[in-house]
Amino acid sequence: MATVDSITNPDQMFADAGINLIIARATHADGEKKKVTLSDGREIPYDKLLLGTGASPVVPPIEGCDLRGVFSLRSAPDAVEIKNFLEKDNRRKLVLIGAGFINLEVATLLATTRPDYYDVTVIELLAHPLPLMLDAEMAVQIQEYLTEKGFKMKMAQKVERILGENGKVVGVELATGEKIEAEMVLLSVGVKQNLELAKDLGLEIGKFGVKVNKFLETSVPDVMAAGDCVEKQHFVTKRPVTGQLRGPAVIQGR
Amino acid sequence: MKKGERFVIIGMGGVGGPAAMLAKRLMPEVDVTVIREEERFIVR
Repeated sequence: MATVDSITNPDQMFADAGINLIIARATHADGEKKKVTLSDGREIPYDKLLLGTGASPVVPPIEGCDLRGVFSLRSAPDAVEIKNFLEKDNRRKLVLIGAGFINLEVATLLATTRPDYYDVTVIELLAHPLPLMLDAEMAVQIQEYLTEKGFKMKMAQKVERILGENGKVVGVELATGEKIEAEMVLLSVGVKQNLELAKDLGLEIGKFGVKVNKFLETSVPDVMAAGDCVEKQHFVTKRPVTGQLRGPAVIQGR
Repeated sequence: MKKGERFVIIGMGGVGGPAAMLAKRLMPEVDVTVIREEERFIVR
């Protein structure tokens, strides 16, 4: 796995460009007074505001999600924590809940890093992998490929509970009653948009995030939004959809 | 935006960094501020 430093840009790059960088949590935004309040109490005034607050992993209401050894992956520190956990005690039995991009990338990375070492089971509630991106015809081929590579692909299976002993994960039980041993469980079953500030500002919010027009303008003057926190329009169906990838978010930023 | 106006961006996971860089390049006289919670700005 790449080190965190190797995949981040130094803050100096922004300073050199003349950009002010504040590292703090924005806790409140006021669209009338046009200011943002930070966790340290500072107030930052704005003339135009861009919300790029992203999204956070959904932790499903499954018994056992709070056990040691159950992770979700969103940020670089999460990845480091998972890597350290795996390396400690040479853990090898892994259950990945959700067959979206994140879990399949993790599975692929693990298989590449230590071929034939990890025992990986991928569990997906829907009928095939990458269910939100691919139709069955294409997804089945991916499933066959991953099975050939040694992954146990359990599609259309519901996780009933995550099993633990002494506060530590030891397995996963499916709704069918089948139990799968696990030394680590990775939950990647979707994200929810971070909308606290959008709600403070009174922005119009749709089913999948902040509503914006094609210029990324929100319903409140001088407030724009982009990235995972906004509702997208499907290219083909024109229906509202959630944002799923970082690439489009970066392009929206540009 | 006009000279001296303040453009504030919240978040730097995907949108914020590129938006700040391009905004400053296109509008060098605008005051651009990025607020982020994370320790680092992720590139890839």
